[in-house]
Amino acid sequence: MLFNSLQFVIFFPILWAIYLAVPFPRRYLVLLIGSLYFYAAYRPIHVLLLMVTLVVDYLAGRALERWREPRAGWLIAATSLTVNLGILFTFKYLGFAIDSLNAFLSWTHGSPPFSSVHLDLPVGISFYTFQSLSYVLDARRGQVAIERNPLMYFTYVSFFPQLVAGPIERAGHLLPQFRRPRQLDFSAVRSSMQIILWGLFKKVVLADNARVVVETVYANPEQFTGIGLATATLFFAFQIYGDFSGYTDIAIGIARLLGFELMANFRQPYLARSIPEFWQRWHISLTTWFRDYIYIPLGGNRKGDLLWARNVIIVFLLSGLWHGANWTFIAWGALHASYFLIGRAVDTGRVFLERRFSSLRIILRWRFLEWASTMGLVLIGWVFFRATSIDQAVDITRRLLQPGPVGELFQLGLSRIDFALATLWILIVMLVDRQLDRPVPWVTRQWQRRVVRHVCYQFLFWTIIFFGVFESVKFIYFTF
Amino acid sequence: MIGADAGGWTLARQSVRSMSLFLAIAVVFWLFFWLIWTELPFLRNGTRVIVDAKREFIAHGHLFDSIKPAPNRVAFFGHSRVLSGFIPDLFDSLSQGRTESYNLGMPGEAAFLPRLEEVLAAGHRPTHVFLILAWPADEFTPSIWRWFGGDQPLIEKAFPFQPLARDAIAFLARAPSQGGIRAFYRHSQKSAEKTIADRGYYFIESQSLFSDHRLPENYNHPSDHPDRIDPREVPSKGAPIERIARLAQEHHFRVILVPNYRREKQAGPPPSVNEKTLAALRDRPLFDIVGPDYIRYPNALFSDRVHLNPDGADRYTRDLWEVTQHLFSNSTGERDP
Repeated sequence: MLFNSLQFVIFFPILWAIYLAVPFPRRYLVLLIGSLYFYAAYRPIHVLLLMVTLVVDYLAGRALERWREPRAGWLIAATSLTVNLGILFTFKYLGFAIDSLNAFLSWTHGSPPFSSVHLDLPVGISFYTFQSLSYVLDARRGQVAIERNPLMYFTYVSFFPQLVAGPIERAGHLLPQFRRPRQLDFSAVRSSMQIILWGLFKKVVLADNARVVVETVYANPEQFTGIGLATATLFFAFQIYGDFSGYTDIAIGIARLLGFELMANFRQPYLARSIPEFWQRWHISLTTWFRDYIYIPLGGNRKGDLLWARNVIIVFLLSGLWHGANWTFIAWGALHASYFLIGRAVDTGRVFLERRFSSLRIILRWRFLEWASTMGLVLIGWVFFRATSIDQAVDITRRLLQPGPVGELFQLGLSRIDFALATLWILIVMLVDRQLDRPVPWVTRQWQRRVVRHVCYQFLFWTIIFFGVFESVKFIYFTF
Repeated sequence: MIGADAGGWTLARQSVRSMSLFLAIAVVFWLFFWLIWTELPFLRNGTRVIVDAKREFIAHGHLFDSIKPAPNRVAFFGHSRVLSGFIPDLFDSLSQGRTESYNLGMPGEAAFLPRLEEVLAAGHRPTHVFLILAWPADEFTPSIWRWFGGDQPLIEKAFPFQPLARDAIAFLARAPSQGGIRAFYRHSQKSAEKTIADRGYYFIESQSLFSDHRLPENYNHPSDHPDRIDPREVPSKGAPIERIARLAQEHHFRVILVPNYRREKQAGPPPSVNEKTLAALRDRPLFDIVGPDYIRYPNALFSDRVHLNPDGADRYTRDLWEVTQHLFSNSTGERDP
């Protein structure tokens, strides 16, 4: 069930009313049933797969509580990892692995020996697998209290606002919230409504309208010049941002209505002035997951530059692979790893130049230049993320700056008016992000006025109605 | 459940008041937009004006002569290609009185079945239903997991004026080049009246951006594939085809898949008959396919990359007559033995 569907608009108030009517100790059961129904609405059979993950990791937690010796802990965690990653591999990567092997063997031996396998990918499998795994890994380290109530644990992992596209929560943060009795907090209700409205705007107005341009151009990129390719890539940057951060906003708002606080997943990423800063602002729950469970255990930056570089490369390649079973995602991860490594060298050079030639400082620290170069690098990364093959991505990247007729802007699938409107939505999102990132006091003061707030709410509401896409366009990250 | 302390109640009251205010303002806006939508019906996008006029005519007018109907009554369903491509008056003059036809092409409507049902429910009795698009393979049935087939129709019911903002912006953007707001409004009104007078045919002038309404000869679109055939997929099974067959039997009409049209650069030349479609419809006595899947025309006959200009519509209508005239060889509209 999609947040941007009318079915959800009916489903949620019913669930909320039941949730509020049931006495506190039993409320989590309402959430569990609601969450399983929510997930089953995508494909009922996939609930069984979710249940396997839930049962295995619950049992792993209980076993870790019982057998506390390090070796036993290692064995239990390894079992959980094997089962979870085994399921993830089978459903998400097996087809890709066989296809890649076939391609390699065809190249060396002439014919592909294995037949292709393509299983139906369960929605959000990467999200809930990582969330459930983090519980086992934290439990092994003794960083989280073991949950003895299996239904409570199931509710924690399958909690529907964040089940299919995150944020990837941690047990230490979310699980205790299920045990905390809570009253209906009206200020939370009000802020939930605001954030849901903003999230819906980003999804159905910004992302789903930008999508038309992206799909038109990326379906036949060879037919477009640099103007069309660069515009479509820029639109994709905002499509994926609007889509994913819009989903997260709605998820946070829905969870808040139920009395839960989810972790932040985005902090105005397109205002970043360096690639490391971008990663502190984009998909924060995944970035911190990789930091805590891969990067730091590998040694982080504590074991010298060479091992640091290795760790960065590993983390980004895995991050790329997490997003999808395609070489384009791996290339995207590799590209960001190279940004990190080269960026560090550039930073060293910049510090050196600043010391030697202090007059250059104004250029070297020019905020706009930092922002524009970061955006440029991120956009090139998005080309690889969106392209269907490495060849296509390389071709698009090569031609991004190729000159072309300005009229091509109006052959990208949107009428002139819709194109202008899509640009307006991008500007609005950037302006709001700018205000959230570095508030202008005058704007903040205006926001305190009820009239201004209501004008904004009405504007968002009617923009969603008039310009939103109501074809229940799936969220991009559902397929990851 | 709810915080019972004084601060909590104050906050609750404020929040409820705030949300009520939001809803009240939204209701006022709803009424305001609805009023504009209903009172200024020609403020809409050109093609929407046409759809509304046609729907009104379907509900209250006579698609076919009510006193002395022709033996063969053709209702041509489809999207904007039909709307701008089929000239009923020309078709009927070519048939020398053997047919009486009506263009029921509606922009943006790929699913013609609800419209066909609307036409039949209004009491119109076609003998031949022309289609350029086939029916879908299946249709949505509600289940416990999926309650609605699509949200857009429900949104349109709740907010019947949903296209208003986009249409108004387009209207205001075009008005200066059309002699001002008032003149453009009257022009839209006349377009609707002319469409009804032309038995549903409408030239989509608003999308024509080139001189003389002719697409330049060197015009290409990124989605063009002159080396590829673009075959029409025709499902032989499924609920929709059964529904159409039932309607055809009940209301005594035949369903004829007629050629669509493409630009020459858009797609490769199709075979003269799609054998796969022919095989799919072999066991369906009330279904026919005539001609190829599509006819290709030069750019000069198009006003934009999708639609024919009046010269193109003339040519397409004549070509349609060529491929369908054998259906009207007798005067009863019944299938030839």
